[in-house]
Formats: sequence, structure tokens, C-alpha cells
Amino acid sequence: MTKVEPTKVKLVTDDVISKRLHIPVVASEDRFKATDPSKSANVASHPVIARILSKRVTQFLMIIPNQIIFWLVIFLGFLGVVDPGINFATAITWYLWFCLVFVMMAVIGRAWCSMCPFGGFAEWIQRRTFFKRLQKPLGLGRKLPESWAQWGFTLSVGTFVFLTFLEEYFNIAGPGTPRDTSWMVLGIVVSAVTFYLVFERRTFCRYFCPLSALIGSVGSMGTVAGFRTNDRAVCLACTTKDCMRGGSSGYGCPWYTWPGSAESNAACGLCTECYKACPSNNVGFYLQSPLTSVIAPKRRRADIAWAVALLWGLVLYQQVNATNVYASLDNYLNRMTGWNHYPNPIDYLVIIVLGALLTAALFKGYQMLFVDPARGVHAEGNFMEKVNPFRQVFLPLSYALIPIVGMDYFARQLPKFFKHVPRLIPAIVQIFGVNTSKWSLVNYHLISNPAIVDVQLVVMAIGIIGSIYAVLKIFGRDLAPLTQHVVGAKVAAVTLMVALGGVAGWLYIIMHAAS
Amino acid sequence: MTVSEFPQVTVLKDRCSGCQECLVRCPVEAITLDEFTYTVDVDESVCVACRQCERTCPFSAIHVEGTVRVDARVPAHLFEPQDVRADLHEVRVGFLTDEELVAEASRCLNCPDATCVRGCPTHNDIPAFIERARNLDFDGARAVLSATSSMPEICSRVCDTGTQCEGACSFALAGDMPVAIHEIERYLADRSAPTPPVVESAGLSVAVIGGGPAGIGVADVVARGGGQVTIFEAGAEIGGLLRSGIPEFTLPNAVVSRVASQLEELGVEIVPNTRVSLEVLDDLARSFDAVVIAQGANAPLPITAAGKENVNVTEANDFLDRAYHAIVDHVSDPQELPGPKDVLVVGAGNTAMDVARMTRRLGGTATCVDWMDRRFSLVRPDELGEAEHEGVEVLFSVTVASLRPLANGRIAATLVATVQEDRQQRPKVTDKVFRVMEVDEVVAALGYRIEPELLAAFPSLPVRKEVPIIKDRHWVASGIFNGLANDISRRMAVGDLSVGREHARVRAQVALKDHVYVVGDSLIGPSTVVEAMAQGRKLGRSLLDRSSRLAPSVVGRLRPPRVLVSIDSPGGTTRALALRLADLLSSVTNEIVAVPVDQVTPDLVTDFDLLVLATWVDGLVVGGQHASPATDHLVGQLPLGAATQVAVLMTYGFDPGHAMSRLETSVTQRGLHVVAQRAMKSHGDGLFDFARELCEAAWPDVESADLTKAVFVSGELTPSQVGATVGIRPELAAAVARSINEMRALRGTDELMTQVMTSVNELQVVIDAWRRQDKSAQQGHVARTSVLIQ
Repeated sequence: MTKVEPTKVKLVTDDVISKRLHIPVVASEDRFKATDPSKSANVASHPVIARILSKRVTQFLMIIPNQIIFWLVIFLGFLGVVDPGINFATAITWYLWFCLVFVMMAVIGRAWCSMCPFGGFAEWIQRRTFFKRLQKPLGLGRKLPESWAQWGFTLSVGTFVFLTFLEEYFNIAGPGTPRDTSWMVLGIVVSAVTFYLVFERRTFCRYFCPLSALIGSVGSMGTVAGFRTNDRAVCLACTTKDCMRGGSSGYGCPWYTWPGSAESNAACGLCTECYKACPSNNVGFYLQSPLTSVIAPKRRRADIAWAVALLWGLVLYQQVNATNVYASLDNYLNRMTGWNHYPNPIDYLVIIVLGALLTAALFKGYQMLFVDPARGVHAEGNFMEKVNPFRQVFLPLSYALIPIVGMDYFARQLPKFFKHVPRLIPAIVQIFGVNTSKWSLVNYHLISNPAIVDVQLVVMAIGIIGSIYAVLKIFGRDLAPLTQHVVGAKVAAVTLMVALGGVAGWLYIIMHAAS
Repeated sequence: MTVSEFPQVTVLKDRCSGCQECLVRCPVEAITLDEFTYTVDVDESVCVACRQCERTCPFSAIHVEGTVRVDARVPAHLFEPQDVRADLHEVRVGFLTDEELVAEASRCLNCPDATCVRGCPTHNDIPAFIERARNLDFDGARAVLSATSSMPEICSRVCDTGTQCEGACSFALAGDMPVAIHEIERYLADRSAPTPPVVESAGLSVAVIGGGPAGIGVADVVARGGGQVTIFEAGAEIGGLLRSGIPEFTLPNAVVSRVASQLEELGVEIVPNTRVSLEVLDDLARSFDAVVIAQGANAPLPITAAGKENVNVTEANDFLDRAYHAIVDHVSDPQELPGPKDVLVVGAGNTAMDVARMTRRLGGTATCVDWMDRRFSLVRPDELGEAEHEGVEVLFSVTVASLRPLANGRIAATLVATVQEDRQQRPKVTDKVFRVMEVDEVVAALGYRIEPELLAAFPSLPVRKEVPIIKDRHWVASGIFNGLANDISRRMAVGDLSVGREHARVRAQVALKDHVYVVGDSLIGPSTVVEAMAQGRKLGRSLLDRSSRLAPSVVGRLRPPRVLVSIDSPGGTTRALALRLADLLSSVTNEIVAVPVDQVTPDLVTDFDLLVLATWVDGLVVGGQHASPATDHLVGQLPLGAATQVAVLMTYGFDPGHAMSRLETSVTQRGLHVVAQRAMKSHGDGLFDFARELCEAAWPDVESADLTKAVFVSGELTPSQVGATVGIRPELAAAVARSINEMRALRGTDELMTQVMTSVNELQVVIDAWRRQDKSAQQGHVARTSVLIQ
């Protein structure tokens, strides 16, 4: 059936009282040109998908399987067998889930967030319902103060670094300890519930969830743009912004994203609330080409750039820590500080920060070499706002680094997946009282070394290619106008990406040699 | 002004999404959009710290610190004599000079989304009349006021503005002193008069029972719209409680009389000294197009003190009436005033204050007792302050436990303490004796309620001022619910109070019986003058609108239905069909709104003449089919007996089963009438026939000859009205065209005839164009009609 948008029919109810609002500023035509998905990429135009998205129960149904799995994880981690290889908690969490999360973020974006049982559970409590649209939430509903909020995703990096330290310290993940896995999952749930009861919306997910920055930044590679406006003029003409405030059928965006100005999928939790709340049927669910949210956003955010740099430092640490040199350094520091446990927090933090700072220093060097000082812009402000020539280079190059960082994390998870994921079957069967410890699947590897390293190198090569593609695209718009040596700067930018990706690939070879 | 005096405004760039909700509402245009970051920036040197941005930002991404930058409020004048005995002069004098008026008017920010207008129960366009006040354009200001108010000179004197317009003023919501809206309104209203309307008869006759604020509201609107109004007034003059319940020193009778005479000038017939029994309602309904009960809520609440039956307890209105006449009779000899020396007033609301202050004017002493805590008392602070200034003792957290007659003819009253810890809590009476006092008279001023006879006749009364769980999105966006608690509104939630009032106002237009309506205090119980008037006006407007649809023979008053299409379509199929229908109907009506079902509130429905429920068949053939849940829910909420007609467009996949009849039953149970219904598959077969059926049922029924005659006799019917009146009715359109052609043959071509012919042809073209998109079965119909059209 032909769709009609009648011209003489009002599609929203008028406000009969207020008639004097100022006219909003209409952005120039090319402001969102690069980030707006094509109209044909709106999958919500399909009736079946539209029907699914409009149901309030949809997100609940996505969350509930994970909810069941992770409560099983918590209980079986405490009560199940001690052997991590066949305990359901460790097997599903570390051999399957953690890999799947990376696949989902690289391919889709915040797919995990839309089905996350931790935030989902806390949100049920906060909203006092599993899926209904109620008005009065539970808890204090505080707003995160500006002094904290200005750090954006870097807060989440902080919690991720902390959690990873715990994971390394207690050896929770590889091969893992079931009880500690349970404690960790329980800790995340308790933290989430606490934050949800103190702060409004998904403040926890937006700022503090350990995975949020990782999913937000690496997820920018994803092919789901998220929920965006169908027609920006309609959004601007809308004076109620139900998608942000909440409407009759949907809550206001829990992630503080407005579909009318979203230019990245980094802060779209795919929760469908804006789609439900829009009174004008003007929100669509869009797909996009891979890497669009890496390449295209005009506003590059400092918090995402620094999050990428720090996450890069962390993944480098996770590679370095498998080398002999690191083992010697850690032992040395332990002797010096009396810490007596792997890992020593000093080398842990220093390597992460050094990884980030060295990368930043490389970009600084790039700026000094190539950026024409006359074209540098200076603007004061807090962490989120300020602009300077370094940031003019650091932000776009950090975005370009996202494919390498994302693929590096993914590659880092592959050994566990290839070696141990078959254990999931005995681990599941074992729940029903069957002794599966002798099953051949327990020691069956899908792929063994050195083939795993080959796969890791292939993954890194994909990451490097992605970053080269991204940096070439980004260069034209963000960097070329800053330099007088366009060709040289472009070659240097590509070289930087290859070099950084090469370091990660080389580390996989070193790690294999060490093992 | 130094930089340090500027407000500090922080925009959380992390959260700001550039939605510009703040920008479109900032009264001083201090906010700009940075297109690159797509966030807003604020010019602090322009900002006045009214905090509209803070209240309206959907993501709480903007924060303002610092006090409101506005000049101090211009104090209004009071008349405060040393001795109030026998003095009935108006106490509140207001502004005395144009300079004071302009100075106060200049404080108004002229907010783009004026929350004061929402706070005003009748939605006066406050920024507009204040803007005219700044220019001393009294007539212009009066025109603005008259558009929404029938008695600005009264409302400005008696309104509890702290919980209405002034409580909702941007400054008040920011915790500061609001613009003195009522003083400005009063100054303007006292110096201007409404202009008489120039309208033709609307062919509508309305009987109004009661000449109080609600009755005056109905009468004013209907009379100005060309209707005939007869007010049956129990007293000698209209005014209701405006005369009997509010003393001269607060609202002079001369002011009420001015409003009454304005009504009479409009041609309103007033039948004084006539109390209409509810038993003759049916007779009245036969004689008038509408009967409006606006008799107020006059049953006084009794006091509960032990021993009350052993003493004489006076009712407040009786006391006020007696006191007024006593003073008027002894105005030249105030020392000889008869009256009680010591009076105990039970209650401490505004009426209680009036009684106590009247007692002081009789030369006696007055003590008011209120069992509520002073913080939560319902009395207006200014009223309380004036009463205390005049020497009235007002005791809060105290109640009368017992009354006992004394041998000397006086009454002994035992007062005990009460405890109330929050506003919602009912005060608890303790055993602690606060005082035992001896008085000459006890007056009950605890308030009023609707008469039991009226409640028995209309069981749905009183209508509650409900605050909906899901509030209107426009109201939410205005930020009226996000104000800081302040003393102006006595720390009450002005936003909630306002939406509650709005709910009652909308419900006033729903008939409680055939042709019988109830408004004002009779509808909702004791409230305020302005609320009653606002409800009356709303009903008056509604009656006029309906009469203009139902009186097609009156030239120039023909009006097509206002159509609301409720779209329930998760997948978009029903929506597409509903929008095609809306598109078709839009060519023959002036107002058509098509919105998702979740946007359709019961209150919204009452503002439309036709509700089209576009829905889909849910359920299984085995378990039974029914309309989609959201539509079912909406139908269950429809206001009982609303005048809105209903049409149903239902889509189905395989079999609609009994879904249609079930939905029709539900609609009928709410007292609404289903005028057309059609179940169809998604391809839209039969949509045109449905539209035609809908027009046959819901468009005004006109005779082609009458319509054509109306066009030529008066020459005032606009061509576009022909199409709107005829609706999608090919046969009728053809008949009108034929009739016009005949008339043209007789009278020759003139411009109007040509225009009307064009209009009819255009309608036919729309119909044909629509039909061409449809199935071939309808093509034959086109051919038949086109022959008639020529």
C-alpha cells in the first residue's frame, strides 16, 4: 500500500496554550549529511519489525534469556563444581560470552546493551516494572554532577581498568575460578542496582559500566546506526521531545541521546524507547555501513578519544603481560614494593597509561610535524569542551585507531574461545548432575596454537585495514585542512596506523613465543 | 551591572543534544546553538536566571546559579484605616498610576512558553495583555482579556493567584517574586470595557440556572456567539456568591453590577427571584437547546463539635448578609451598629476570614480556628495578613471540641490542639485543651458542598480535578511541573493544580443528561470564581460549536465536524490506511488531526466532533477476535456521554470475527454513538465507500435546495463551506451542482455563483481523483456522477 503523509492533516496535537515559541535553529544541510543513514536503511519501515519495536515487551524478551543465564552463573559459580573447565559460570562467561560481546559490538554496536541483564535488572527495579510504561520511578533520581559527567566515557574506562585488575589478580577469567566469577557478576549487578537507585535513567550504563566505553567506542565500527530521526525538520518542529522526556508509550532516552541529532551509535543503547515515545512516528531504526560512526561524526568527543587511547593501553598490557620481560618486571616490582601477587598495580597502571600516553605522544609528534600552527584552534573549557591543535589531531586519529583497538581486544579473546568453548557442552550437561569431567570435549580445542596466532594475525590485519580505511576517510575532512603537506601527512597517518597495528600483531607472535 | 552579578550557567556538553528545547523557550534569547558541536551556548550577560531552560531541558543538561535578575515588584496600595468599624471600602486598591502599571508590566519577560497562561484556569493570554499594558493600550488589553475571560475586573480582585497564574510565573517557579499579574489585570479591566460583538443569531437557546461566575461564563460566550441565553437567578440580581459570599471590602457590588450590566447589554435575559427545581429540568430541556445547571455548591458543611445542637451556630453566608445590611443601614451612625461583640469563627479559609473581618467592621472581636497547620492552610496569605492586621485572631492547629450555652446567653467553646505533619495528612485531634473561651456567637465557615438533591440527580457528580498519571506532553514540556517549591504558591505543586483544573474545565462540556450540563461548583464542588467561569466559558464555546454544526439552515454558520483520527498501528499498515482516509476527509473538513492512539486522551476527545478509531483485529479465530488492546483501553476511558461521534476503521488479516461488534458495544456502553464502521484488509478496498458512509452520517445533513438557496439569498456562505458541508457525498454534490446550474440559468452568472460552482466541482474532482486510485468497481460510480455534474 502506498504510504501517504497528508499535507492538510495534522499529525500531532497542537498546544492550544503556547503559541509563541522561538523558531529553532536549522542546521546547515551538510551538518548531518555524512552521518545520516540512507532512508532505505530504515528497517523499521518493515511492518513486522515495526510491530516488534513498538511492543513494550520487546526489550524484556531480549533481556530475560541473559537474565536467566547470568543468575545461573551466579548460583552455579558458588554452588557448582570447582573445576572452571566444566563449571557453567566460567565456561559460558569467559569462553563464549566475552567473545560474543566483541563480535556483537564490532558487527552491530551496542547490541549487548539492549539485552544486558545487569543494567536490565537494575532498570526493572528502577522503573518498578519489567516492561510497562509507568511514571514514578523508584530511587532518588539524581543527575550525575557536571564535575563527573564531563569525563564521559573515560569514567567507564576507569571501572574497566579496575575490573580487569581484579580479573587478573584473582585469575577470574582464564581458565578462571567459578566462585570469583560469581562474585564479579554479582558485584556488577549490585553496583548497577545501587547506581540505578541513586541516579536517574541509565547513568550507570552511560558513565560507569565497565564495558560501556569499550562497547561505545569499538561499537562505532558496527553496522547498526541505531534509532535516528526520519525527518529532522519534524524533530525540530516538535516542541515536546517525548523521545527525550518520555511519552505515553515510551520512556525518555535512558542514554541521553536525541535521535534528532545523533551522529554516532556510541550512545544509542538500542532500547527502542524513543521509537515508542515519538508522537510523530518519526523515529526509525537504521543500519549503516561499517565504520560509519568512526569516520563520519563531525563532533569528535574527547572522552571517546581518550577512552580509545586508554583501552589501547589496556589491551597492550594484556598482551605484554604474557611475555617473559613482563614477568621479570612484575616480580621485580613485587620484591621492591612487597606486593607479593600478580599483577603489581604499579606496572599494571603504568603500562596502561604509558600505552595511552605514548600513543598520544605519537599523535602530538604528528601534530608538530604536520599541523600548520596558523590553522590551530584554541578554545578554553572543561575536559569535554576545550579545543587545541593537539586535540585537533588526537581526536580524529584516536577515532581512526578504533578498528585496531577493537580487533586487538577480539583477537585477545580468541585463544579462550578456540581452546575452551567446546567445554560449554559438558558444563551445561554437568548442571543436571552428570559427571562430564572425563568427556573428551573438555580438552577438545577447535583450533590450537600456532593456528590461533595465525587467526589473531588475520584479525589484526583486518583491524589495520579498517584503520587505514578510516584514517584515509577521516584525513580528508579533519586533518587535510590543518596541514600544508597533505600527501606527507596522509602517508604519515596511514603509517602510524600500520605501525600501531603492527605492534599489536607482533606482540601476539611474542606472546606465542613466550608460551 | 558587574560581571559577578551575572548568573552562572553551566551547559553539560556531554548530555546536551542540541534539541533546542531551551532555546525556543528562553525569553531573553540568551541561548544559541553551536552547530559544530550541536550543543547550546549561553550568553550569561543576557541571561536573567529565570531558569526556564533548566526546567525545560529534557536531559537536565543545563544548570543556572544566581538570583533572578529582575527589578523589585511594584508594591500595590492597600486601604488600611485605623478603625475598620462600618468601613466597607475596598481594602486592596491596586495600582494608582500608569507609571506603576508600566513599571510592573515591564518586569514580565513575555515568555515564549508562558507557564502563567497554563496556571490561569481560563488561560488568559497574560503576556499579550501585559505587553499592551506596557503601551497603555487599555482597549487592546481588554480585547485580549475578553477573548478568555468574562469578568477580568472580578477575577483580578478575588483570584488566588499564588496557586494560579502568579504561582506559575517563571519567576515564581524560579523561587522569586512573580509579576503582579492580577494587579495589572485589574488596572486594565477597571479602565476599559468589553466591546459588544457583531454577530448574527446562532439559532441556539440556552437556559442557565444560576447567575454566578459559571452561569455568567456560559451566558457571556453564548450571547457573544449569537445565542439566546436566559438566566434563572434565585436572588434579586445575578452574581451568586460574588454578591452573597464575598464582602464589599474585597469585591464591591458595583464591580459585580458592572459585569451584570455588560451581560444584559449582550441581550441576556435575566429572570430574577426564580429558583428552578430539578424536577422541571426535562421541561426546560424541551424548551431550550441546552440547560446549564450553574447553581453553585451551597450546602454548608456542619461543624462537628460536641454540644453544637444546644447552641445557635450561624452559617457564614447568613452572617455576612446580615452584617452587610447592618453596616449599610448604619453607615451614618457607626457607633450604633448592632452585632455580636465576640465571635468564634470555625474554619480559617477565605470565607472565615471574610466573616471575621466583617465582625471587626461590626465592632466586635473575632477568633478563627482552623484544625490545619498554618503551613498547609488553604487561606490566601494576603487575606490572612489583612485579617490579622485588622485585629482578627487566627488560630491554626486548633479545633472546637465542644460548645456549651452559658446562663448569661453567651457560649463557652473548648478549643483543643490538633497535629498535622504534612499537607496530605488529615489533622489529628488531641486531648490537649488549648483554650476555653466565651463568645457571643459561633459562625460555621468550614466550606460548602454540592446540594444532596443535585448529587442524587446526577450520580457522577462531583467531577474530580484529577491529575493524570501521564500528563499532557505540552504541559510537561513547558516545565510547569519542575518549578522550585516557593512561598508564592504556598509550596503547592502549581503544575498539578493546573492540570487538575484543566481536566475539570474540559469535562464541563460533557452533558450529564440529554441536553443538560452542569458547570462550576455544582460540577466539581466548591472551587474558585475563575474556575467556575472558565468551565462556563468552555461549555458555552462547545454549545456554539455544536449548534453551528446542527443548524445548517442558518447562513454562514455551517461547520463540518472537527475530526480526530486515533491511529493504533504498531506495524504501520493500519496507519497507512488511516492516513489515506484522513487525507480524503481533509478535503471536506477544516480541522483533522491524526495521531497515535497513545496520544488520544479522553479530554482531547471531547474537543472533537468525530473520533475515527483506526484499529486492527487482535486475537485468534479460536479464542475470539477483538479490537487492539490500546484502542480497547481508549474506548474504556471515553468520557461518559460525550457528544463526540465515533467511526471505526478496522483492519484484519484473515477474519474480523466479532471484533467490530464488540468494539461498538464498548463504545455504546460509554454513551457514544458509532455512526460508521468498516472492517477491511490492508489493501484498502472499500475505503472510499467508507468515507462516503462516514460523511453521510457525520456531516451536517443538508438539502441541496436549501444550501443553494442559502448561497444566493444571503451571498455570505463561502464557497469552501459548500464542500465542507456536503462532505464526500457524490450524489449530494451532484445535486447541489445541478441546483446551482438551474439557478444560474435563471439568474445569469455572477461571481459568487461561479465560485460556488467551482467549489462543488473541486470537491467532485477530489472525490474522482481519489476514486481513480481505487478499484475498478468504483469507476462506474464516477461515470454516473460526472453526467450529473455536467
